[in-house]
Amino acid sequence: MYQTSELEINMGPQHPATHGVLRLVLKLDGETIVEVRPVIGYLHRGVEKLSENRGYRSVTPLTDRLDYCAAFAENHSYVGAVEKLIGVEVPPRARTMRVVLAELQRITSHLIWLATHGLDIGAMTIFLYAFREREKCLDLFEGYCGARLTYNALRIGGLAQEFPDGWAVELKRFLAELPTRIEQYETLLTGNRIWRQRTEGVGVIDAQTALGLGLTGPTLRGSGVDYDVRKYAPYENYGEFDFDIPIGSKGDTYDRYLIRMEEMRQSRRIILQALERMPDGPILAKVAGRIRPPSGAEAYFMTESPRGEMSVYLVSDGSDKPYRVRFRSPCFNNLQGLPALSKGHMVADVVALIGSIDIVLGCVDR
Amino acid sequence: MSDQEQPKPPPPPAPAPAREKAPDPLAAEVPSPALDRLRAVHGGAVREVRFWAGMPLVEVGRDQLQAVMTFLRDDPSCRFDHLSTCFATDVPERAAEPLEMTYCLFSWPTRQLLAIKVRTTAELPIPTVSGVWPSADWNEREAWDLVGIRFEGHPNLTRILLPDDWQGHPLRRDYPLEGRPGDHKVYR
Amino acid sequence: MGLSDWELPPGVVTTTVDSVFNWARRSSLWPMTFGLACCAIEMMAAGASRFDLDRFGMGIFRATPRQSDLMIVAGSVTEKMAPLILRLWEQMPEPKWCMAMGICATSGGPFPTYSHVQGVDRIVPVDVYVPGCPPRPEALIYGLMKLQDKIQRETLARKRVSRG
Repeated sequence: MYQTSELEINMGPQHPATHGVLRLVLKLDGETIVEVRPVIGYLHRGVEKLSENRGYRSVTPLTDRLDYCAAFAENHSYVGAVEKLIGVEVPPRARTMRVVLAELQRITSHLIWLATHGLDIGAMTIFLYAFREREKCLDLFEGYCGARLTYNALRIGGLAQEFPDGWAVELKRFLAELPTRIEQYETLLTGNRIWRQRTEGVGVIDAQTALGLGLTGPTLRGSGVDYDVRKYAPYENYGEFDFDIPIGSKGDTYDRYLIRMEEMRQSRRIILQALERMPDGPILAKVAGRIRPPSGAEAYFMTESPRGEMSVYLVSDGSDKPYRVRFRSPCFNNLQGLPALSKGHMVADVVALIGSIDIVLGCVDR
Repeated sequence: MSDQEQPKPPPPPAPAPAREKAPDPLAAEVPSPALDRLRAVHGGAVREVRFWAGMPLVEVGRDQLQAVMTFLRDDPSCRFDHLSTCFATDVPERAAEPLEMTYCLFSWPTRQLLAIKVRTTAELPIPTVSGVWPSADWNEREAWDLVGIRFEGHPNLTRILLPDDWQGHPLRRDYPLEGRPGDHKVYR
Repeated sequence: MGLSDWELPPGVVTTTVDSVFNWARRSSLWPMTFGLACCAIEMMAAGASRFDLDRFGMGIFRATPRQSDLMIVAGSVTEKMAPLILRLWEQMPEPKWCMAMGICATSGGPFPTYSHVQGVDRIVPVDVYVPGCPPRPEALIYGLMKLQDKIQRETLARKRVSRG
């Protein structure tokens, strides 16, 4: 008689759909997944140890390379942690400018998520369209700070430079055409029967399990809870702006897709409000030339990056180098949820799930 | 000539009164309902409490860790349903207990932030909290991998970020940044 | 009397075998998807709508090493990943070329740490180095064109140096 047994195969680390060097060991019963075991560490560069050997200001460029799809968000959480550690008050104009840039980063990051998620599932057109929009965002960032991907745009105490002349006009022009572009993407995907069949019902998770697993960001909000650091632990001046947090109802991949599309619209809303209310004033607070927090100082600063809760814990020992830096990356915790999400699904669904969780391996492995 | 008395040297200046260092305003105590409940119910487990920038830093004993964590998750005025992160630090200056584990807890419903610290040595394991919050699983593996803290009751305490056959724990203070020659293969 | 004195029928061209082979090889380099870190995003941007790589014949990123000609090592190489890079390089059939994109692949970049390999040329032989952190897509395209020039200068006559 025929005897079937479970097949254990390896997916990655070199794989077109694993979004970087992620290795998944899949135990399969035919095409159905019995167990997924992620193996990470293929991009572990020792950034936390390297940060202990650099001055406080020199760590900021390293944080760009962690979550490279949302480098501004990483910069933001590190710089915010140092400011909390030494008790620096960021000027109001700098705070509002940071909100503008952070939300623009959210749009940029969601565009790259959309491009790669669609490409993995098989929709090649959305890759080209989303990258077209992303190039406009990158032009804006390049106009502001000179870099397309790794910005190092923040300074401890505020920002390095003002918005250049005409930059805000360019930004408004981009935001004016963004809704039509998002509608174009929705025309391609949201009602598409193939897209819905590939994403509806895939990777359902309930809120309780998701919270226990430490999921944050759109991955958690798909399950119906609106936990967003911008509302629950507001930083900068997010408390002053009027925006909604989209949440899902079923907790599947389709819900997470809709949430991120809506988040792009809400980001646009926040940027327009911020540009309108931009106060005047300085953009950099006075900070000592050599940052030397007192011994025993520890600070934890939470932000909402496009992928989830991105936080930095700093420990100081009185010297001018941090004693310990901990980068709490959203992708590390979100990836922990992959085995729970993919139970009972098929191999092709794993590809959809990796895209839905939206991981960036630089952030996972540090 | 030499009979003349040398002029008396001026008396040494009186020592300045010790200037009292003003306590740093960032270290001020802030009201924390969770901390009050913790002290009320598990007061014996709390070894030391500090504050910085509005966040309580609570050191608890190793043996009572699981009870304290379960209490912090379930008690109605604490409700820390989110283990934001947990990580290990090596503090060799504290020779008795050099390794330290820090847990950052956040409560979405009550919006409180709390840091719990536990100290141990390389030989003594800390009870795992992956039964309380499953997200501790990989974080504790990383603490084992990089600093070398053992966790009692962990389902799968293996290396996670470094290759499986790596020797040593890189985030310890005595481990050089460039690595030790024996740890690399031919590649570095 | 040379070839130019002959009366050739229309549609007949004379050239060397080397030129034809090298022209074919450099005009259809199929890269392998080997994005490791941040440079991978710029590599994807180079292949996307604005800086189209397809016009160089390099549009098709093959996922499998068996069908690709060019390994663009885009990003940081770590100790854990190093043996796999070597294995993938050995799986690629000749003729094959390697490009180190970004400073992490060139010489370790900003990470002089315990787990970071200080340059992918400690593992595989590299033909072109493209510095930058990350290099702009234009810089990557410039590096690819330099590689095309290098391929143009190759010859089939002498046996290629063993590529280990």
